[in-house]
Amino acid sequence: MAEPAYTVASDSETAGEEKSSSPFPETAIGIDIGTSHCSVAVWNGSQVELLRNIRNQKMMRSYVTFKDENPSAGVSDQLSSEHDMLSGASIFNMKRLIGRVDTDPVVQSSKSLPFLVQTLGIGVRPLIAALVNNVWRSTTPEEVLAIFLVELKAMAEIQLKRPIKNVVLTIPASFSRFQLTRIERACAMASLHVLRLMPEPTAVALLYAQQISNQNVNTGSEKIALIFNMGAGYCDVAITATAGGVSQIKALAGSAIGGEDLLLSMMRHLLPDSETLLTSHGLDDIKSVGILRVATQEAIHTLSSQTSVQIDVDLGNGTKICKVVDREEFEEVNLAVFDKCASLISQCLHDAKVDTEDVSDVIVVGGCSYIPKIKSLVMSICKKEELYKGMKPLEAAVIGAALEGAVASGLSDPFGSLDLLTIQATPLALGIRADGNNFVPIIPRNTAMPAQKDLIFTTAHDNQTEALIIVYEGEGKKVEENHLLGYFKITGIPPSPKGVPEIRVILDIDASSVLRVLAGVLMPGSHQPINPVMGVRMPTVDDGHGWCAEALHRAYGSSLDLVTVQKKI
Amino acid sequence: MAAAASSTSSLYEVLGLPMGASGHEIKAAYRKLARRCHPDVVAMDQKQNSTNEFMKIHAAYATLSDPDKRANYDRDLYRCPQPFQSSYSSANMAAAASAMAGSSRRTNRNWETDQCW
Repeated sequence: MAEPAYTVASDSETAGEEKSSSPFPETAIGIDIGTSHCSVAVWNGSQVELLRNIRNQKMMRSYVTFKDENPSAGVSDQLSSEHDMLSGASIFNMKRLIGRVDTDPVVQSSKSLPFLVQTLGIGVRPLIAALVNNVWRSTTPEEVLAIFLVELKAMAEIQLKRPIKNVVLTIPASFSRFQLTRIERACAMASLHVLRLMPEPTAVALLYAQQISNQNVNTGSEKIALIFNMGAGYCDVAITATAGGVSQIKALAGSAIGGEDLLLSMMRHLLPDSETLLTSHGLDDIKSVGILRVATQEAIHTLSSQTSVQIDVDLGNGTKICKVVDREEFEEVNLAVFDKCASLISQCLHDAKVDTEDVSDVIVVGGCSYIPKIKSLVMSICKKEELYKGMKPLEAAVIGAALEGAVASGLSDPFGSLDLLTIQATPLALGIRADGNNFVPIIPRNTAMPAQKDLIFTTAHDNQTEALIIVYEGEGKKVEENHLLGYFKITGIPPSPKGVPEIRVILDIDASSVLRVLAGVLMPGSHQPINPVMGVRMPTVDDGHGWCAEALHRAYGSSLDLVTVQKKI
Repeated sequence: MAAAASSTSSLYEVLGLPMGASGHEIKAAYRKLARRCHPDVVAMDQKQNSTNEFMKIHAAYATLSDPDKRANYDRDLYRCPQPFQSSYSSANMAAAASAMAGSSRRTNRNWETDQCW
């Protein structure tokens, strides 16, 4: 290995050249970067194998500790206790912070973490810093993730005795395309080439497809499965129709809710009026909050196997908590989180047009799958007496990612174990701003990929010669509820009464999931665009993108607006 | 062969099925074609063709696997037995669409996360 183990190779977006010069295809490894834990797996020629670190762990804590010059990540680092991670020197929960602006509620709720998350509430990236020798040293989620991935890469290279380049990463279904670029950037910084980014439940769906095709020789019959995946940071649901090794994703739904939210609301419940303490970041306060966090986390874990738990903890600042908490209380405190989980499942069933009686298997995975309330709520919505067995809740996603890595690397298996295919669907709608401040979807959510859709718009004003195409991703009716992906202007519209020019906007997602937005002007009667068509690869926005929409509005008002027209049949 | 069907073939022809095919047969045919034509399973230099091919197959499947859409489609097919044009090529600007789509496909297969073209 030419690269030293602990340097970030480059700050560019791409990970160097990517010629497959070797005659043998390199098998891409699967990586599941969880909010709290991370794992790596690879197809070893006959099956998927999880890699272990030097301490023989398959699940590694996702964090990076900054001390002096050398940061060290949770891959090889040994925590003497959980408190070590909570001193302010370690950055964790990268997956909750990456690609989010400082007005995002998820970033806001991260301000109670022991490291510094400073927000100005103006739609720019938050300042994130680790405490090193009594100095808040700034970093970014991408950098932290890159440092972590460099260690992970080194670990895999030592074990597999070959350089690692190609990876399949699992990502939350709710990630915007902007967030995906941040993940790709972190990978590029770690000299890794992203072969595929796979929504977590779809990775689980692929493993399910393999298991089903192994058991079921008659490949004709279709099985519908509901997959519920909830970890520390995110909750995702997918409905998949599987037969003959083909997993067709019918619907996806996801939200940034997870074990971290359960933990935070429990901490607030145990110590009411603790907001000042939680966000203060004084040295003693960090320690107290750390003690509270560890005690609460242990209590929640205990409540998965017991109906009540005794919490007895001294925060070291004069506050002592001595309380018995039972399961009911825990469930009540977190009612909002559980309700959100339930609504994601219902939404997914509705979107997939699937009735609960059509669902053959219900798969519940992820760290939160150990919580009794989670299991019972999924079973009750799906009207099932039991859940699918045969998957390890913490390993299903990474195994699916490794299978995808093998399939996407062009490997085949003599026993047909890799005769697999996932037909992915768009997790969020893609569209543009039109009709005032409305979001007009062009590719609806849960559209099979690759996809190409178009919609015709027209001018909002008489003699309007230019129009702004502002592209968003999301589910909100108003643009500000969605993720801004980019914008560009089309010019040279022939002066004409409003409503006459046809502005055709095509959204195209290719086989590599790259989104391109094409826009051209047509006048009635003509079949060719007036001017060369604009073709823009999205996202184009970079940091501080929260500002852009507002800046555009300030500069142009509604002068370059578009309105929808009824599509001609 | 259905996979090589032109844009003027019926949705049934796209899937290689007779008009009376059952829902089960439609799903099975879709899967079989997907296993062969999906861009994830073809060689690198065929990804572009296979993307268009797969979208056509998926559009046929999406219509025929939905009982309401299929009934409408069957009625139209019966009423005016001229070649059906799928929705993404039906607009009067089909030429522009393909020109526009063509421009989107010209990029190479290099991995890029930013504006590189």
